[in-house]
Amino acid sequence: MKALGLVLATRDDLRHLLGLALAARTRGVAVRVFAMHEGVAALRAEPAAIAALLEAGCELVGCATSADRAAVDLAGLGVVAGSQDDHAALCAWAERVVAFT
Amino acid sequence: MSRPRTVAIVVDAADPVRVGEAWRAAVGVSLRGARVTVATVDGSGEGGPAAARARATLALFGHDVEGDPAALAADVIELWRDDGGQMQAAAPPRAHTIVHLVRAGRRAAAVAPGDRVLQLDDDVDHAAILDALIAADVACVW
Repeated sequence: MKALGLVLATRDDLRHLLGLALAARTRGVAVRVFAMHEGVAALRAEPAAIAALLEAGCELVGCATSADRAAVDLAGLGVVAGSQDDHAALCAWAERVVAFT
Repeated sequence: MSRPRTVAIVVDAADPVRVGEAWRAAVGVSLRGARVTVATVDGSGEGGPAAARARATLALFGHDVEGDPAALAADVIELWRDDGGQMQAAAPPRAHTIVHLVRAGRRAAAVAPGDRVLQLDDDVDHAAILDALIAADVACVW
């Protein structure tokens, strides 16, 4: 596997997403993360997780619509503000997708 | 030209907000040419007017909005579930294998022969989960 996509839409699964992402990066697997719904607030609550994902070379995109609803400043977190188009692109790009929805 | 990817959005949630987000995601994942199936488990909540519009939009473009929740037949499975999830279906025969990742306090359904079921406990070995992902065709998080 060369490409892993991870979708986060919950509050309580970020640690599993992080664990999978870091395990994949250790093996040279490219990782993209798309966060929406409660996943955006989960990222805000764990800036250390964001730092670890970015440091490991993961691409990290948050749904701007979800961020607006939750008053989350994605840019301030270091997360790219994206849209559902990024969600679609992740599903097209990844060989495996794990959706924490 | 390779075939379009297939994405299954399975709705098994009581929370109307989560249901609405599932339908928004269903429209979203269709934006790059994927074929989308939305399957709603009996007893799930209503997603409101936005979900109804999303359903109509998907149907207009030929996507399946009345899928079988137990089929879990797609390249990507997004199971939108909450603690009100009620799915208990048995799995119909299928050609692909699924690795079921089960959160603490949840149970997997629609597990077919050849599938793997792994628990997402506090001390889970994520490298082992990754191995299972590679070995299976698709993942489903419960």
